[in-house]
Amino acid sequence: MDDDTKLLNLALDAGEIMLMSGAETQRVQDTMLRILSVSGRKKIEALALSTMLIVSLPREEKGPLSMARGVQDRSVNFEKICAVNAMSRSFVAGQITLEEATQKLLEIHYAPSFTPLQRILGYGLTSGGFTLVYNGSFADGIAAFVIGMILGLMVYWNGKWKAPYFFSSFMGGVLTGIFACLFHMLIPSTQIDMIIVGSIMPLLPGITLTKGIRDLLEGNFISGNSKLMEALLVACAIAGGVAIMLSIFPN
Amino acid sequence: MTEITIKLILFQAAFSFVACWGYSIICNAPRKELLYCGINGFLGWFVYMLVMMYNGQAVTATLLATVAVTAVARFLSYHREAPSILYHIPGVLPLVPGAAVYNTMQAAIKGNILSTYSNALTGFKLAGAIGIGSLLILVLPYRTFEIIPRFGRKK
Repeated sequence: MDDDTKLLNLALDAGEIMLMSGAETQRVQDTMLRILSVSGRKKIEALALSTMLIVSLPREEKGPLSMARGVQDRSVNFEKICAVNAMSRSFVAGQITLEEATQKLLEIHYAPSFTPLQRILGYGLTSGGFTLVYNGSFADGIAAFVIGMILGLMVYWNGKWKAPYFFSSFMGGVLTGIFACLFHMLIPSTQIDMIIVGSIMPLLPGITLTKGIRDLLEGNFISGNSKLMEALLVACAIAGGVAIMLSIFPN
Repeated sequence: MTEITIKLILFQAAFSFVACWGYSIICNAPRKELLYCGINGFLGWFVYMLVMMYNGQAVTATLLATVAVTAVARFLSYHREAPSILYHIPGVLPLVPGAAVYNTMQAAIKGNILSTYSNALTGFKLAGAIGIGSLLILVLPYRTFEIIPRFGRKK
């Protein structure tokens, strides 16, 4: 591989990690352009859509070079976004070479994250906290905390066998509905609506929605539209799951 | 709805801090930034409830809270040298219309079409307010946020 191909590969890898970690389209494009600008050529192009990346490098002497890559997995991982951002800046500043940068990207890709237990606790804190934020009582908060941990366990388990995102959201809604109704039956003073509104917070596509609107307003219509569609689908899946359980249980 | 007092606002905002802190763990934020993500979540709900106390308009409150959160996120992004999205997402999380989704679904189960549409529209209005509020600050050039000299991390 010559240096141009290596550079394109580096840009694509960086873009892939960022897109997989849930960075905005604009930031992915900026990072890839920044990495490509090291080549010193003019009219370089880097394009990011919601599930694919295209980079191209015009070369007069050997003919243009262009590569594309599809990105399937989508999750949220801020640490990787920060790390790739820092890596691209130090690469452009000339502090690390191309080989070191490629090596560093591999390290970032396999970097350890929070342990599953910590993440499950995070789900619990989010659900319980938001129930109290939205005017729930302490009993509601504790119920939502437990439901949040169950949701975290479900998301962890679904991530293990790579369940489709729609199924994950739907299962989340179903579990929330079941356990909220059970808690209401056990402790009649709890309010079902408060528990559910708080519990579905970590599952709701708030990030996707915000990023979709931002993409639309910045002029990235394709990724903006597809993100809004994804947000709508996920919200409908969660609502559908909860709705089925609420109509089955008498209340 | 219960009357809004400063005490209630502080109580709820404190739990907003906890919730956003937990959410940043789910989103795998770097450990050093967890505190700042939580603070932004606190701020978002605090501003929202303050505006709600004065005029009771959820859309205005969401817009102003988003503006505040995004501005702080960009300040932090400059001062802590991290992407602004890291602080922005936990900040706007309490403002995401989760209750609107729930109410829409509840109305749909009961077969109340009118209420279904009005709740769904409320949700879209709030989502739009979040988008416009963040864009109002995001279009500002990066140098706007360099007026205060860097603190904390040394270069």
